[in-house]
Amino acid sequence: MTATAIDPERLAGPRKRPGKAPRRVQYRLAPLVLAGVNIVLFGVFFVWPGGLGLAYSFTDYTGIGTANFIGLENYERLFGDPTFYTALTRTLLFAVISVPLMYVMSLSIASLLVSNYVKGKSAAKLVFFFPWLISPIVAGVIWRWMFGESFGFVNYVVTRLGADPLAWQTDPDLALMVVVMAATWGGTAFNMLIFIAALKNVPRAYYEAAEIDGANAWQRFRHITLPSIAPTSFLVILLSSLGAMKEFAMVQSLNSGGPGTSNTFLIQYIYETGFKRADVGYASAVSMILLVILLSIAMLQMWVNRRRAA
Amino acid sequence: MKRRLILTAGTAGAAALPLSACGFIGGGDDEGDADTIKFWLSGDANQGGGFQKMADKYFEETGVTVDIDDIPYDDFNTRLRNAAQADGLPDLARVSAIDPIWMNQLEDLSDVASEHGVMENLLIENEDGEIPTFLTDLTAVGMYVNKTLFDQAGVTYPTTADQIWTWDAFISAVKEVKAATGARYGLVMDPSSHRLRSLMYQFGSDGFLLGDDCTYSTDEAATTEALQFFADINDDDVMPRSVWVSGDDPNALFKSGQVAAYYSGSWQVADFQANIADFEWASALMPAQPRRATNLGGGYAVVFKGDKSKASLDFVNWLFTAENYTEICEISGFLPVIQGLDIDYGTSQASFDLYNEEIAASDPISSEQGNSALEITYAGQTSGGDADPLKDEAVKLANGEQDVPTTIANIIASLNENISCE
Amino acid sequence: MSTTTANPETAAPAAPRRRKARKIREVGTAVPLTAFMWLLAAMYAFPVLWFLLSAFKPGSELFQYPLTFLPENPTIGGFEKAWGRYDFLLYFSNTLAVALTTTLLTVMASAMCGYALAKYRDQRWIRIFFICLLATTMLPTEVILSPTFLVIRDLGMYDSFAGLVVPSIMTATGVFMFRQFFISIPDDIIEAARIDGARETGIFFRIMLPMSRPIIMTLAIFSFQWRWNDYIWPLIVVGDERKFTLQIALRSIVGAENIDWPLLLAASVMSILPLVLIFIVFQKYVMNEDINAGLKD
Repeated sequence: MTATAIDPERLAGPRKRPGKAPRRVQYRLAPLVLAGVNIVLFGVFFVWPGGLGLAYSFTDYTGIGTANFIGLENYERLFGDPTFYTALTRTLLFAVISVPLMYVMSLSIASLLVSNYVKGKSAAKLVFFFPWLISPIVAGVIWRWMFGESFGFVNYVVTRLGADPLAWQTDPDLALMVVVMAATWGGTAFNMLIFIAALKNVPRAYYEAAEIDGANAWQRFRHITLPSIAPTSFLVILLSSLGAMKEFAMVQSLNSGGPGTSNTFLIQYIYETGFKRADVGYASAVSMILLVILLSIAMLQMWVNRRRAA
Repeated sequence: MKRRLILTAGTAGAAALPLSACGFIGGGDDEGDADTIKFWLSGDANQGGGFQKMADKYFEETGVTVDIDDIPYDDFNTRLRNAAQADGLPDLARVSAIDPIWMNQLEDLSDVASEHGVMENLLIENEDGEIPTFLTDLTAVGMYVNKTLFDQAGVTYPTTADQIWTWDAFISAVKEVKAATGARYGLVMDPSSHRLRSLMYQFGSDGFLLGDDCTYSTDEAATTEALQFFADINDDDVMPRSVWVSGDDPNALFKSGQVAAYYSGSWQVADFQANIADFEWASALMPAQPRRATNLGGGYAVVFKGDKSKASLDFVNWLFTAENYTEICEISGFLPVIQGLDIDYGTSQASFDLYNEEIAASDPISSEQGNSALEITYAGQTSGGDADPLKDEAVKLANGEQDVPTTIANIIASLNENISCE
Repeated sequence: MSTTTANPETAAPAAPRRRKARKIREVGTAVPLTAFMWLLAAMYAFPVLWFLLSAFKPGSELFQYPLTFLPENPTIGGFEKAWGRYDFLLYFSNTLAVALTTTLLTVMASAMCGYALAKYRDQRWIRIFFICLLATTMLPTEVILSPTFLVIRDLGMYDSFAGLVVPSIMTATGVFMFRQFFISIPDDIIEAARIDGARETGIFFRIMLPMSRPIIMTLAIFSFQWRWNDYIWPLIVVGDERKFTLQIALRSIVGAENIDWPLLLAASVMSILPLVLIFIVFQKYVMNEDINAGLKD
């Protein structure tokens, strides 16, 4: 199953460079076989439809009829549209706020659930897991009821305590806060589980050694735990960022991208300008740009990750 | 341990497969059944299951099975579109809009319509003089009031034509109720362009009409007055801004008992009957300033061409006979598209009588939205889609992002974008 | 996060005092930590409890003002209606079949691919393929829905079990999880096995895969939930009502102009229960895996 590349130096005779590193054997076939299924699926269910989408982006296709080639017109229109930039900045703002919050919350909760000191872990785990099971539509409704401006629970408590009710739905920034809270609440379990698996993977020997050396809990956390779960941290941050940029269903259900259009995120922009108006060509163009934006974010994070690991 | 787990999971999966064999693997074996017709609709169960009951009755009478698929509303049109592209269209359906993709695959329903006396102003002919579809039921925009609050404040509301009020009088009335009872809001309205059009009609505007030059235009004076009025009452005092601006649920707000009036439609009657217990509600006549109007809607019946179209037409004919149609209207709380029927709505009789009266007294503009949508589709001037510039711009207007002239201009621009006359 | 250590050099008379001191320190840490965790749990639980309790409220109570947390007249009317309205067992078994099959295949495919991406990183095409896989998460589903539907139709998979299962097997998240995990495993183990003459795939199946049990379990939970809650995809692929999954049935409760809340809440609760059960069973495996043993040197 393995294919080895013959090292010509070896065959040729006496070694010319005595201090050379052990020969690098290229295993060609094994990774191909292992990744094979995903390669095929990638081609059929991503490249093929994606290619169609890319093709549409250069046309004025409306879902029916013929698609006429119009070159870069869709892209020009896109770059000249101020609502696109508003949607983009709003989505970036959302990501910048929610990703660190999500990271801190899920890591803290995972640490607590892995710790030997905490009682009642099994029940707590279930509590943290439940929100993730609820569909975004129902979650959006629950948070809308809780933070409803007129009759929501939170404002009810606030007025009971004597303060003025807050404009959770008609103030753009407060509305964004509600979305951040709802998104964190719903997504924590996912990242929490990933962190738990990673935390369990850190060899106990390291902790034991550190404790003997007199390190306290916070130092142990900073110098052993964090570095050991670095690959997982990278995964969580990257996935959370991508997820935040693609947020749609929950926001729709919570406040319809409101108030007005002030919290319209990117996917909603694509959906409304493209699909609702049956302008498939334009929607495809915007999606391609979204793909490029997300790819840049991913590459950026990977570059940071590689620099930190070096 | 892991192997055992995988084995268990695998066995469970294998066990589940035979169970779902009826669904998945064995699926499609009903296509060859000559006595089954497939009927796609949405929301029947939500409205009392009238269609299902009629299907059961039809089976008893004729032995033909009408197989109903109740499909989620928001994705119904997508489903139909995909089915059209994959040769999977049903035999008949009750749709909310005609899609250009499959509009040429419809049977002509003119005979059915004329035979059973469907209201003339609801029938639209396509380019070939056929009537590919008509409404199975009517819905209309209407007003609800919180009777308990109104009575408490000692304010009356009109239930007969001679008592009709104007919008100005109506707003003063709800303000009075609000002040006297400490209610939170005077009025809530569904964040829907359908309701907004009704309001515009009542101000004398005809909405946005397509002219022969293939552009949209509107009566600037009346439309401006209507939209300005709308923007003014969205002030968090009379109307909560959160409904139009953030999608807050007006139905829930009204049910809290803290709102004096609710501008919605006939489909709420059954819901209110079942779910409002803390206060009394009633239907009231809508304001007119200067004219009475409403906005009509409903589900459209279509029969697709194919092997089963004869059987489907038979079912449709049977459904629209006076006896059966009366029955389904009673079960599902439909307003009839056939006049002259005596329908017993039980405890909701007062409300539905009011609706029927409103429809009869309303300006013909009330059926404009539905009819012109059909006409435009038949003429091939639109490619479908769910664009709603009136709603989108009204949201911005209510949010204070723009003024009325800009709103009107944007609406016209967006509407023109989606139209192409050849 | 931290563990207790044994101190074998403790002199006998000093031992009880030291043990007591340690005990006090432990309680001193345990109490605040536990309290903190339960505070967080309460914050997370509140919306969930409201959701659950609301499912037991009659329709008239849901919107009354002032709001109530507990139902005044608890009722299971919503649940009865949901059970009677929908052929729950059928949709349940449909969804179960899809979720189980897809999860099994997904975990296998992701583990293999993740391993390949992790341990053969020196090859250029591997690094490029990783980026390609990541890119699959960057095109929103709504956008490639239409073209993907055309692909499914052209492959003859419309309205079939395969049409639901096959496209969902590839998941960038799953592959990513395994990749990160395998990266964190030192290469020495692999080198040692190679020197012993093991074949590459043998190394994977016999050594690496068993080590990745927590990841397998975690991905299994995720994949099951994704497929269980999948809505858009089944809606597009499935033609016949008898092949509906639970989510589609749930969505049809959302009417055109209004929503039957008691019904929707009750049906949502019922559809979540199997997921909760699965989690309860599987999480024991995630939490109690002692894989440190393999890595201690």
